[in-house]
Amino acid sequence: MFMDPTLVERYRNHWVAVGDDGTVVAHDLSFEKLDELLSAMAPVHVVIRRIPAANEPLFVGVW
Amino acid sequence: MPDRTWRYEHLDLNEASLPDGSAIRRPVVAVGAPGSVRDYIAVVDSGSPVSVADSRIFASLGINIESDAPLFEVSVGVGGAYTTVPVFVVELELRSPPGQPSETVTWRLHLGARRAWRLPFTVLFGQRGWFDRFATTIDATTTTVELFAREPAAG
Repeated sequence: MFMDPTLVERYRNHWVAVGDDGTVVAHDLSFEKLDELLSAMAPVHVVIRRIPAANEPLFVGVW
Repeated sequence: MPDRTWRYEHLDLNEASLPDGSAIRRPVVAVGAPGSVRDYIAVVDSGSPVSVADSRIFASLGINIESDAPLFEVSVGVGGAYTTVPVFVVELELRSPPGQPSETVTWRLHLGARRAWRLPFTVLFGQRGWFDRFATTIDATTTTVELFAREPAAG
């Protein structure tokens, strides 16, 4: 689940697929496009996540 | 006594820091569709009565949220927005923490499909779906999951 912290600002508001070494294997602004990109690649273990924009409010889990 | 214990360090999801400069670290585990090479980050939230996820991952779980009949629907609020979400029975794999031998535990759960999801994690595990399945302790830095021999391990 580790991501190279030096890459974070570059990928804010993007969906990213992060490899085991912490680098970004693929990225896009949309989840669907990232899914397409990954499907076209050879299978590799990645963690898929969205890097929040810098000014996004904090989720506190109130239902 | 548990057969084994998995400890997940809380993770900085790159949210904005608090005004005092301290980073936000959330209690997380890694999950995925059975057999897949893609992990999703799930936040474990004991205050949530149910479990919900980004609706876009349901296709990878074999669920068509447009045409498959949900088990039921429930009205929820996630991140301040209230909506009704369909709840499906899905199968997920829990993945062992980074730095430990690669193992998985598969289980079935009720999972709500939330559209317009913009959170920096993909699944929110609550009492139903997580805590009713895994003995879990959350402290300031770590989420500890106790696994028992009756649970099938694979991988």
